[in-house]
This record gives sequence, C-alpha cells and structure tokens, in this order.
Amino acid sequence: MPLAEGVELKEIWIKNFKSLKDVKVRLGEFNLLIGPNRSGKTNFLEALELLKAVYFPRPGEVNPFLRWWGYDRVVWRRDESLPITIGLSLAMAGRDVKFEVTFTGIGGKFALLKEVVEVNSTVRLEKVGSVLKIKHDPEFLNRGLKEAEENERVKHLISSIRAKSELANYSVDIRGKGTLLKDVIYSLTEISLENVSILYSPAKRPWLRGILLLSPNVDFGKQRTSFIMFIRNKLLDLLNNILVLKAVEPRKIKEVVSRPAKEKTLTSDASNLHNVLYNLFMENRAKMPPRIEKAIKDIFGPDVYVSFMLTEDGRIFMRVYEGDMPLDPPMISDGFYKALVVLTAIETRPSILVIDELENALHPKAIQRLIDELKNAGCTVIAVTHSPAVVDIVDPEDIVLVDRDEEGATVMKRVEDPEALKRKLAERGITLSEGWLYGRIA
Amino acid sequence: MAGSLEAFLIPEDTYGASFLKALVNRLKAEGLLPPGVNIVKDWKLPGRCRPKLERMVKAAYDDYDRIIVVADAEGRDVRGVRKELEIHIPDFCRPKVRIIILDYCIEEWVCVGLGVRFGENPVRALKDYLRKQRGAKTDYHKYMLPDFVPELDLDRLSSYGSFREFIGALMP
Ligand SMILES: Nc1ncnc2c1ncn2[C@@H]1O[C@H](COP(=O)(O)OP(=O)(O)O)[C@@H](O)[C@H]1O
Ligand SMILES: [Mg+2]
Repeated sequence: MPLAEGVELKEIWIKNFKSLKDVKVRLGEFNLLIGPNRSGKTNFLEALELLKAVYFPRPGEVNPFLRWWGYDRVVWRRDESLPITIGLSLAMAGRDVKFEVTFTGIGGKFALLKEVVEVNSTVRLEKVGSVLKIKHDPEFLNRGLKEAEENERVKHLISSIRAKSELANYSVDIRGKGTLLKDVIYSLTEISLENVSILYSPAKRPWLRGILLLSPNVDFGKQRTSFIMFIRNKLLDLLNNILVLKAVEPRKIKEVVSRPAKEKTLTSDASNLHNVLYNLFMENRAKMPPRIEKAIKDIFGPDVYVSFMLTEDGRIFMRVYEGDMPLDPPMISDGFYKALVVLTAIETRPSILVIDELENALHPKAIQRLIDELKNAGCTVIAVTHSPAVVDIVDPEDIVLVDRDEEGATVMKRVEDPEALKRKLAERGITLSEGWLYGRIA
Repeated sequence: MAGSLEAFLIPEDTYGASFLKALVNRLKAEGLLPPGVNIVKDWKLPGRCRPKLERMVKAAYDDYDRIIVVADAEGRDVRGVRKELEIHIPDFCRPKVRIIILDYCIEEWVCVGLGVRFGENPVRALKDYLRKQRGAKTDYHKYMLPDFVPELDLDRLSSYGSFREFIGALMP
C-alpha cells in the first residue's frame, strides 16, 4: 500500500547501524543517493530493511540481526554495548508526527529498548523498557479536559483513572511485553468526542491500569477517530510495506520456475519476480498491468510484450514475445529483467521503495523511463546510483550526497541551494554530474 | 585561512595521483609546503581528445583554490603539449589553473630523487635501477610509485624544473 493520502515521510535518522553512526536526512518523494564506494549507501537501505524487520519479522524470525550474521556485524564499529536507533518524522493529516525506535541485539537477543510516538504540540508517548511515559502539551490538555468535563460519562471516567493534576506528565509501569506501536496503543479503549478522543486502560487488561491519554481527532473515512490510533495504523502500514531491492540478479530470477504461490511482495533480490508478476497478471484478468505493459513497449519496442505459460506439471514461467518470436527466460536480456523488477516493484504499491544500484544492466534511455515511473509511483522512492548518466536525468533537489568521514562514519548531505547550483551550472554550461564529480555541489 | 590551500589535482593517471598525494604529505611533513595545503580531489586527465578537460575545470573552478594539471610530454615538445592543454582552459579559469608538463613521465621525478640518470626513458632507467638494487627478479610496476616517496632526495628534486613548478603551484 502506498503512503496514504495526506501522509508524507519528511525525515529519517539513524544511529549506530553499521557506518550510520549518526545521520539525519531530509526526504522528498524521489531521492537519489550518490557517493563513493563504501560511503554507506547500501547500509542506509539496509537500515530501512531492518526497521521493517523489527515490526514485521519473517515467519519464525526471532532475531532480525541474524540476516547480517549477528548484532556485532550491524552495530557501529562492532560495539555491542551500543543500541541502534531509527527515527522518522512525518506529516500526517496536516500534523507533524515523530516516531522513533531504539533496540539492541546484545548477547544474541533482540530487545526493544525504547519507542517514541509524538504528535507535535499535543501528546507524546514513550515506552522505555516496561515503563510507559505519557506527556501532554499543557494547552492541549486544558482544552481537551474542558471538552471532556462537559461530557458526564467521560468526566467521571477521567477522575476514576488518574488525578487531573498528574496528566501533564506521568509514567505507568505496564510490565506486559509487546510494543507501544503494535500492542499498547491498540489495546486502549477509545471514546471520541467532538475535538478530542480519550484513550484509557480497558478493564480486561489489568496490566495497563492507570493509562489515560488525550488525543486530537482525525476524520478517517466516514469515522471520527483518535489521531493516535490513526497514526498507529498508518505507521504500521508504512513499515510493513517498505520494499528494499538490493543485489537484483537477473540470472537468479530466470532460474525460478515454480508453482504459483500467493506472493504479493518482492523479496530483496527479486528472485520471486515471476511469481509476484504472475499474481499481478492474474489480478488484471490475465493481462499485464497497463503501467508495466506501456513502459515495456516504450523502452524495448512496440512489438514486445510479456505473458505467462503453465507447464504440464503446473508450474508457471514467463514468456516474452518480440513480435512473433517467443523468448523463454534464458533468452531474455538482463536489462529486460531489471526493468521488469523496477516496474513490478512499483505495481506492488510499497510505502517506501528502496532500490540499490538502479542503473545496473540498464541503458540510459531505459533508466529515463524508469525514473519517470519512480517519480510518479505515489510512494517515497530512495534509489542509489553510481552513474553520471542517471545523475544528469534528475534535479539537484533529488540528490542526497553520501560520503564517509575520517572515522568511517557516513555523512549525508542535500544540495543546500539547488536554485543557485542550477544557475551556476547553466552559466558554465556544465552538467549536474560534472558538478558532482569534479566540483562540490553541497 | 592564511597558509591554507585546497587543490584539485588532474594527473595523467591514478598512479600519479597516489604518488603526488604521498609526495605532498612528505613535503608538508618536512616543512617544504605549509601544513594547510591539501589535495582534496583528484581526477584522471581525460584521454587525448581533451574537450572534457574544459568541462572539468569549469565544474571545479569555484570549489577549489587551485586546479593543477600534471601531464606527460613523453618526449614531445613541452611547449606544444602545454598549448594543447591550454586550449581547453577557459580564460576565466586561468588564474587558478597551473599546468605542469613532465618531459617524459612522472617516473622522471623518481629518477631525479633517487639520483638515477634516465636519458630518454625514465621507466626503463627505473627498471634497471631496481634490478641492480634489489635483484634480477624485481620488476617495476606503476602501482609502486608511492613507495618511492620516502626514498627521494628532496634537495636534488628541488633543483628540477617541473618539480619546482609543482611546489610553486601548491603555494597558497
Ligand atoms: N558494523 C559496522 N560499523 C561501522 N562501519 C561498518 C560496519 N559494517 C560496515 N561498515 C562500513 O560500511 C562500509 C560498506 O558500506 P556500504 O553501504 O556497503 O557502501 P556503499 O556506499 O558502497 O553501498 C564498509 O566498508 C565499512 O566501512
Ligand atoms: Mg552498495
């Protein structure tokens, strides 16, 4: 699912993940990471993969760090005593929201240490270990309490849970396990008034006793609900739908001829492309989704199209037609596969689409089209390239410069004044990639 | 800052870049260049057809104090080679650009610094020298260039024209 209407990812920060000792980067809809080898570009993409794994592990996965052979491989300078932090700032339905999670894998065990969900100038929730801290903005709290006290039922409820004087800032030890984002917020009972919602401990969950929080409201569909529950749901959707594509290997994809399975999302090496695309194909009544079909024709020629065949033993394989000549996977070019992976990824409607080494196997002309598709994908796109040709397709605003400092820590920078840079490049008659390679564009 | 200089180096090849960077470090360590002098970027000189040099220089012009081209004449007329390169330096960039032409190639500095006579072929002279010094099986490869830096006699090098120009080019 793409970022919901009105949800915009604005910033991401990462601490202590591999070379990302402490980085913060502003994000637009389309972001192109460029920088020398081992500057930390792939590490940045992997941090997003990890963030997803923290809330949505693979079936049976208890320790996400095992994907990297253990915690000491992923923490800054192999110092296991450090925790990893990943944070996002977003605009949601017109409000600024901050989400941050801190975790560790010390001693071979994955543990969430801290989660923060904060809605600007209203309410902030922080779970540290088993202690939940709730902080209300005083002005918002006053307004909310005033409204609540005009309601007989709610008025009674408030005083029975917690003294009004404590509400600005208090802690509860909720002992229970589970995450703030997934479990705690979800477990609360909610009553929505005109402007605020009251969320409080349900009677049947004694370990949550003593929680009372006020949240602004949001109109969601036909319903008015609390903003806190809304961002909880949207954030989880966002995390669940992060798609990270790294090390796409056409050779490996070609080999897979399997029975159809209900796979809806690509794996990070896209080795399940045939299957995911087959499902999209079947959903579209045995036709390629139009975006993919059009792009393939524009990139590779008007007589090129993709179809699927079933083998006698019920396995699917992709067939590409060039005019009347059918091509089976071993006959199909690597670039064709690479383009198809990118197009399929967009079609699966991720929230954040992350692509390493975008230009691999692709001619600049093909990349032009794919970048247009990515810029119109309706999600946040983060792509990595080493190719000056790709840099020259995009605008200075799209660029994130990645580098490493003396101690090997990743530094990420945006072009400070894109307009001034554009003027300078135009005056000099040089391209953006020339500015990048020979000069300093940030 | 007084005494500091950020330079963009455009050498004939990447071996030259590592050699020249190591050399600059030694020159700084020995007080022959101020400590604030740094080669902050380097990029290989484009191939024989060189309009690309013009684009590099234009792109780099605002961002560095000095742009230093170090090119090989390979025995050709030095003035001719310099002209060939200068054509590609736009007028407005000239104040920051320095072009240093080696009679043959960068190995001639190594030969001078080691006190090896090189005639018309510094690479062959260096090969012969290494064989004599380190045994018949030792061969010279370009990647070894930076390893010679500590062994060079800087006094002797300082009387060599193109080297003096190089130091001059790095003076703030
Ligand atoms: N645990 C770690 N702590 C600090 N640095 C790390 C750690 N793991 C990897 N790195 C650094 O990350 C580099 C690789 O970064 P990567 O993101 O793959 O580079 P690229 O920008 O080329 O994609 C390694 O060379 C190493 O310096
Ligand atoms: Mg990489």
